[in-house]
Amino acid sequence: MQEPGRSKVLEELRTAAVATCGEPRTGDVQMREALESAATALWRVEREHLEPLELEPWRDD
Amino acid sequence: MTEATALHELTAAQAAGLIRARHVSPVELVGALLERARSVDGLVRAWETLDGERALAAARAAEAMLRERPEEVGPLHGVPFGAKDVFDTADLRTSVGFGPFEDRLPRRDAEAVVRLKRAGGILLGKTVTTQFAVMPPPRTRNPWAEDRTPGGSSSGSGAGVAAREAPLALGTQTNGSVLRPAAFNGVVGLKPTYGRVSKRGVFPLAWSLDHVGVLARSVEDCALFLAAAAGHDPEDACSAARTVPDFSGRQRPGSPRFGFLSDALDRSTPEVAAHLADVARRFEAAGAVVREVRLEDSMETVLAVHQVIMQTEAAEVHARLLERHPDSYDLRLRAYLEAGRLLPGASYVRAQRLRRRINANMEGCFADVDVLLLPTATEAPPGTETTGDRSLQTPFSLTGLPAVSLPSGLSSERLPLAIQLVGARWQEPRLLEVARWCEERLDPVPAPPV
Repeated sequence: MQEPGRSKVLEELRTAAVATCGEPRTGDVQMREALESAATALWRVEREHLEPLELEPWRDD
Repeated sequence: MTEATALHELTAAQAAGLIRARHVSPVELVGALLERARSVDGLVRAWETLDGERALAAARAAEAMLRERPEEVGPLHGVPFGAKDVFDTADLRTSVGFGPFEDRLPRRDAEAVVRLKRAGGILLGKTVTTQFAVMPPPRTRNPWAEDRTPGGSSSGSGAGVAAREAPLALGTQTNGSVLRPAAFNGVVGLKPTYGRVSKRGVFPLAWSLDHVGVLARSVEDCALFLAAAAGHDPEDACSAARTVPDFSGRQRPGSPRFGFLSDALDRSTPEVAAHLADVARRFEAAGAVVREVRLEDSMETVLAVHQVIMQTEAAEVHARLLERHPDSYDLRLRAYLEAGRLLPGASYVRAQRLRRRINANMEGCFADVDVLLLPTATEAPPGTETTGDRSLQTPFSLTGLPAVSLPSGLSSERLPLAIQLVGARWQEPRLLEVARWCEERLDPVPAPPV
């Protein structure tokens, strides 16, 4: 999937993975697949429009 | 029971009735099921641990109670059941499919096991689960075809009930792990509303998504399970303090109104889509109302929200264990959990807020219908390298709505196909009534060829 927003999320996840698990582990096939899948899910969640909830202070902005 | 009906063929309700009438002894029934396991489980591999000796002792005690205090017997008196190996069982190994837990012996039974035993049920043993009830394929085989998955993660419960090794078995669902094995093995599955059945003593996968359910061979048996297991448990923070209604489905008011969920067909194989359309036509011809319903949220969004929540919660559940035993984890599961640790907290909260919106939208689908109708799975059981596509079960784990999978026919390869019925929140009585109505109108699916 070549969406720029998703690529950015994937890059952030990879950077975090290298810092946490190290470069070799981040390069493993299973880890690469897991990061790809997580990036797609995160990107979909982040781009979704969300109405403010009733008690949120900025709802009348 | 006719002479020709073997004891292992009995459903839980049939067995309970025959035991109460003293036509069948619990000892005979347990013995017959142990014999059945000896004859077929080498192929099916449904059992993780069979507890024959204790099951026979419990059966003898059940027989004595029936003789001495018949007025005290419960609705499942003398009926054997299995429990997926994620349910704690006192002094009976509970390994959760994980090497370091190989000899783990819990001190107490999980609450669902306690309640089934209280209703008279006899624990026959523990059924195979995928590791930690997640994705790695199990060793269990589908009794319909050895080269097809039994589904997961309640793999042993689904295959064992289909292979007549137990009339019913406990399962759990966080994604699709009760309904998909039910569909792939040609048995009935029930996942109640989130909070209806206690999860105390069940190894967690994702706290806000985990459900306890059952796999059986009739809707009546699912209702028996629910009547025994439902109800508030103060030891489970997610357990709802609600009165337990009558699940027996005796009221039978009117013909059902179905919401035909067309979004689901977009993801299904042509054979599954055609089968569902055919089933809907048959229901209509039998007097039901069938209306098309579409989800307001896209399936992609629903699945993404579920993934962010499940992966984050699972990563936290496993944080310490994974640190101690990284090499004991399945490679894909380990990577899934490690990636889960990296998901931002704000994204998790956002996913939970979206979940609330999805819940509200989905509840709107029930304005004019009793249940939603869709396939349980997008396809007939695929090969053993996978446990199958979860996408049609996931939305109802996310929203916590009650769902039933009913066997509804056979594919061109003579593999089970199934329909899924989804009820409104806390409306299991109506869901089970409608499921019975459907069961009476669908051609019975035969026993698998094992």
